[in-house]
Amino acid sequence: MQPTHSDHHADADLDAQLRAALDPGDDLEFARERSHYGTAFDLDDAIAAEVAASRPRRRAPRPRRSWLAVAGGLAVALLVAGALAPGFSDDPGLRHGSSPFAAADASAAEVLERAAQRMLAGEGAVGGSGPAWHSIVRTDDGGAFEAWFDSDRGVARWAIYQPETTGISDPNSSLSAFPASYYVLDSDAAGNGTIRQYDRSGSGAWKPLPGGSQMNSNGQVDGISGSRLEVEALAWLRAADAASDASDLHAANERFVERTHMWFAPPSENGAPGEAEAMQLLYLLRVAQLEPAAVAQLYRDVIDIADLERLPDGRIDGRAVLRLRLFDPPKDLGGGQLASVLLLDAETGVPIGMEATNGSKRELFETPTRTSRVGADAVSCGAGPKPPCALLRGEGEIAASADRIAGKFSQPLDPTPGSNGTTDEVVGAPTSVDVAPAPNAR
Amino acid sequence: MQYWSMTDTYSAQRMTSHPTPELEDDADSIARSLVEPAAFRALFVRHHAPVHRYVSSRIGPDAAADVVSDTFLEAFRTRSRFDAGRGRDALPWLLGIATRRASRQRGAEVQWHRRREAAIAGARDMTLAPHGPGSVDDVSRIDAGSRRGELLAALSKLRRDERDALCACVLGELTYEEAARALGVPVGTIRSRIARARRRLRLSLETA
Repeated sequence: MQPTHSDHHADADLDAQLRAALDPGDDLEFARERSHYGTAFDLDDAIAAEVAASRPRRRAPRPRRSWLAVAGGLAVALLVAGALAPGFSDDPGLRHGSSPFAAADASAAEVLERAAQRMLAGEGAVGGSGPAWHSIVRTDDGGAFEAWFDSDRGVARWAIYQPETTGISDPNSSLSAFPASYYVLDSDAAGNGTIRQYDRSGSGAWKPLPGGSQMNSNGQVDGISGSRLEVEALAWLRAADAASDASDLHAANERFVERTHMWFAPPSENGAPGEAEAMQLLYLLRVAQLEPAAVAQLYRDVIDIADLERLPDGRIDGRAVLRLRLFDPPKDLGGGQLASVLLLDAETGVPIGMEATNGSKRELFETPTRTSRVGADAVSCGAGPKPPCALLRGEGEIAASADRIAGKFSQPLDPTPGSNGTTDEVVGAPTSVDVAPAPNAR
Repeated sequence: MQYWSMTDTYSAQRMTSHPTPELEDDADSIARSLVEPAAFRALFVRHHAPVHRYVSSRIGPDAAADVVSDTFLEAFRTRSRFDAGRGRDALPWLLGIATRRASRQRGAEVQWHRRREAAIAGARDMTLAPHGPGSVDDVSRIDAGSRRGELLAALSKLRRDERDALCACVLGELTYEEAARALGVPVGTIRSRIARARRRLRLSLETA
């Protein structure tokens, strides 16, 4: 029997009822964003694995996530440092939260060993000897991200440990070998920051960050603010704000590191194409103040970019631009035929176009409108020059959240007498006699 | 992390001789991905949202993330088996994978239905409280809410193949032909399963 018009109508009505009954409603949007990045991350790993398996590499594959964690961790450190530090600096409860590797006379190897022991013992928990805001998150390639407050110096600190880079580290045992290098960022109550990089030999150098407010005056941070990192940083703050115990806080940290391993920026959704790469580049060039040659080396060794060369800066429509030449395949393998030049706004780090290497062709991207969505709040902003509009809204939220977090952590997370707010006693935990080396002392 | 390899990026591709991703259809992207795995990202960019919406409707947003991720990973691993001759749009194929994956999450599906039933009941009570019973509008809204709650209960009791077919068309918005491709059954089977499913749902509503 053929269905009648009323049958169709009844079917349509039933279907509509079914759709309405199963409509996730407001939950969908945020869940979709989360899923987007999580899936992109997983898919990217699968793609990378297949690529790695299908072609001979000119050198042993290097873990990459640790470096991405460096950028992600430091960037969020910059984002939240100014807001967090004041709340901690007056907190006597944080007096025990000193760095495990802050002894001025300790060699880098000793420091790393202690850090490794600490991480091995404290994995999965918010460690430390006080109720301080202090947690360690291991990355799955053997690196780690550690955050704590050094009350002796009144600075918030973030350390990112890269795994052994002479080969593929074993995620299950990587910390039994010392990381090859690690980075420490200090940020004081005024938001002034200093970054220090150690290598395996033990030599380290402080590199002052550009002065002023780290949130607004630094081009790299501006560039990052328009990225997913902003969302993740705010999500981290919210989660930390809502944390009822140490494990919640640790989970928030872990989630942040996990989410910021990759800044997936499909051109259709997150502004200009290449934005993620540009942010990374500007970080390296401007915040970490590495020389272009060092940047290229890092990309070759860690991030597996084919090759990169910084060309003389230029101006387009009155804007200062950074020009970065990209090679594929690498130069030392005869590359260059697919080289092109990425143009970045020198102020914001936003990619503004591509250029042929001989200058014969230039394509400027359309100025995108980015929508950064955090929960129910959405803000749209152009990719243009400062101020970073995402942060204009974000700052208030960061400050408010930071106040609450600071207040929360001024009390032990775990009120059990004697527990001192920690979930685990950590082997090798520092004592209050640890003294951090002075910035620029090396 | 390949997204950090600039030569893989969309921006870099625009300056090379690679096909322009926007001009590719799904079948093209999949074919290209067999040589350049990164080309598979185009599929992800195009179809993540509808796949996620579909899976979220089936098992809830909380449980959807893993299923969606598994769906794209499975699709990537099995992309060589994608049959462009049966359709160049990959969404039915992806929803087919998602359906199988979601169907394994029976617990999550039941839990999601219960959550929705509770939410619908809550909304019905809210409707009743401030306005009071009696108005035509209130009655119709309460009636709709009741029906939806009962509909979910009935949906949970459907046979899995009937539920999959119905959801693929209603929630996934596939045509019968696409649903047939997605679920790997003849289109006639899809028609009969959906007809049976609707009949059972109506019966449940009438007897409730």
